[in-house]
Amino acid sequence: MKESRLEALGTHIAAQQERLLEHAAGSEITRRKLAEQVAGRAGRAGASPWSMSYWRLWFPVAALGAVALGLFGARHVLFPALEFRVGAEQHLGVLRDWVNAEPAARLPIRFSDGTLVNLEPDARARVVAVSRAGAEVVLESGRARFDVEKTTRLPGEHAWKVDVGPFVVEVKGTTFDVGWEPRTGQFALDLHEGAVTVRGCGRDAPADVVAGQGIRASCKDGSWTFAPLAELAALGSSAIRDEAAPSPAVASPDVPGAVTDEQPPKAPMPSASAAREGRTRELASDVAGLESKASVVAAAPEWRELARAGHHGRAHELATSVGFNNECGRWGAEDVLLLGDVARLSGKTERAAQAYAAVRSRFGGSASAARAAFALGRLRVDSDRNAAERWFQVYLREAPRGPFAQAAADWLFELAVKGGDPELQRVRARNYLDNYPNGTHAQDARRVLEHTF
Amino acid sequence: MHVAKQLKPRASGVSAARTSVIRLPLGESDVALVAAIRAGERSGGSALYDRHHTYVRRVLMRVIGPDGGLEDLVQDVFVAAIEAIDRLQDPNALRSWLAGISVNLARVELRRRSRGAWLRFLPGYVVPEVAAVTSSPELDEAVRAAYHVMNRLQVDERIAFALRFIEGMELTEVASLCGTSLATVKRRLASARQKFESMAGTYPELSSWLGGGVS
Repeated sequence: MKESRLEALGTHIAAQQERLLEHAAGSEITRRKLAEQVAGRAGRAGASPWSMSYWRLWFPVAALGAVALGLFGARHVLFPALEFRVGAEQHLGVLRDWVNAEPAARLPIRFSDGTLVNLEPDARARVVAVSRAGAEVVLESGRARFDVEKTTRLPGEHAWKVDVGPFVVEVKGTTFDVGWEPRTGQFALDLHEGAVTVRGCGRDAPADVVAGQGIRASCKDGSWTFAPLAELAALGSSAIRDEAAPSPAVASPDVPGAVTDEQPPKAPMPSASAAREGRTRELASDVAGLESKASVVAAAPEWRELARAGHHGRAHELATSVGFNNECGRWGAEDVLLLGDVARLSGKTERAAQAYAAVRSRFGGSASAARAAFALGRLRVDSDRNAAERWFQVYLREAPRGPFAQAAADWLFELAVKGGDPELQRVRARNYLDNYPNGTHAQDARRVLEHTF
Repeated sequence: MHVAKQLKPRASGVSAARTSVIRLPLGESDVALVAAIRAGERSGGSALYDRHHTYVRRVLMRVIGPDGGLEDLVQDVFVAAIEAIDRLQDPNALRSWLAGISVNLARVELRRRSRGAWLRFLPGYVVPEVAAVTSSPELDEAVRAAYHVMNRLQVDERIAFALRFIEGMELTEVASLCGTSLATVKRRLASARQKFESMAGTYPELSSWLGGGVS
């Protein structure tokens, strides 16, 4: 057999594989993981650790560092940082991992010092730092109740801090509700016990809030309203609640003695007493509901663990074996999004689109639906530029400050460059620079504007 | 583990440029990218992936086949690369360095699967079924048959065979990526070719490509 025949066969195989590669979109999950990995190695970079010159230069520093590390480590052994657990199953929480409450369920995050953060339905948050005496929590959207245990801090230790959009809430021991609606830029805080300080959004001096007071603030018009909780409850506005989100109507799988929200509260931040009354009423009416909603509170999908461990192919096979369609209609928004990612990373583009579309259809108006729009955009980047652009624009409309907003803007700019329409490129370049003057493509956006004027 | 020149996808009638989103002239070379990663800049990780994931995927696909679980391996390649980025001596050779890591991880994966295949013959073991390497419906019978045959080659021979005949690399490039001498690669290729031709005779799907009669 001549080698040229083998080469011809090889060329044929390569051509077939190129067709598959055309549809292989990158993984957003992997991108983020790698970004985190690189950030995690900061400080470890530098000269080769094995060269003598390196040691001569750095040995004293290393020795001092070792001593400091020893002291630091001893302190951490004696006074370990807080741990936290998520959900009714109390899974050990992972720093910087996003957690989402289901559209119809509260999600508790329990810290080892006794602090409880209860995410309201559809809220999204993550714990970004922990110390012995506190933690920093980012609330991306939605509402949450914080019951913070008071702890004596050692010198240098951080207190509890909650980042809520452009606002920062600094806490000691206290109980408060906080909410943030990124789409409208509205912030709300109701303080039931203790004291907090709120900063951010153009307000230079920190605002001290005491028990029984609340704040309603808007970044868009720079307004700050301080008022007693009773007055704020009487406002009955919808500053925080996402009106487009489907009404929660099922039991919480995560909270023991699950409560239901058959009637979403009209006031964004009900007072503590109102909340207690509501919960009593809900508990009383919930027993029958729990039985009929058994499918929703069923155990987590088995493919989820495989997917989270990165075994996308096997996760997809498992999900398919139990009925992909059913799984799309059965689980909560985050799981169906994950299912879409699983399909996409397994090369099953249309299956992935099916899952993302299910999220858009079932959880329209939620943060998850916006993320599904972004995922659909990524899915179509290689195959259908127009569709990809539409989805990225949908994402930016629905989550203009969402976690993928800059990535969506990046893609829109890239797609405009790829499309070759100079006018569109200029428009996108201007938009990009308005929003991300230091973004990944800022330099290229400036080039586009310079070359066309 | 560097190769002398940049690796290019084999001319195959399907333009490589169509296989991924156009990369903008970001004004950042691979040198700048490596520097960013070494400095711990978060954007370096995602930029590395954006810039090279299609290429890494291509190398892995050539060696392993269009496996549904390829994404896991792609991720592993980038994780390993970031961990070892300080050992990259010439940042200009980033691409071929990634190809070397891809080949190494593909070798580990193929050996793992090979061990799994042995376990299946042992009673009492339940080994998770590995997806068929050629399960994609887009692929024709000849491709499926070719990977069936390649599954029966020794791992190092298979890698050399895939890089030489499917990716279309020069022998020196194959040797560099495999971390071995040119002579060794030639021996592996000769052995792989002989076995492939011999086994391909039992696959009618390959006969039209290989001239009908295989020895």
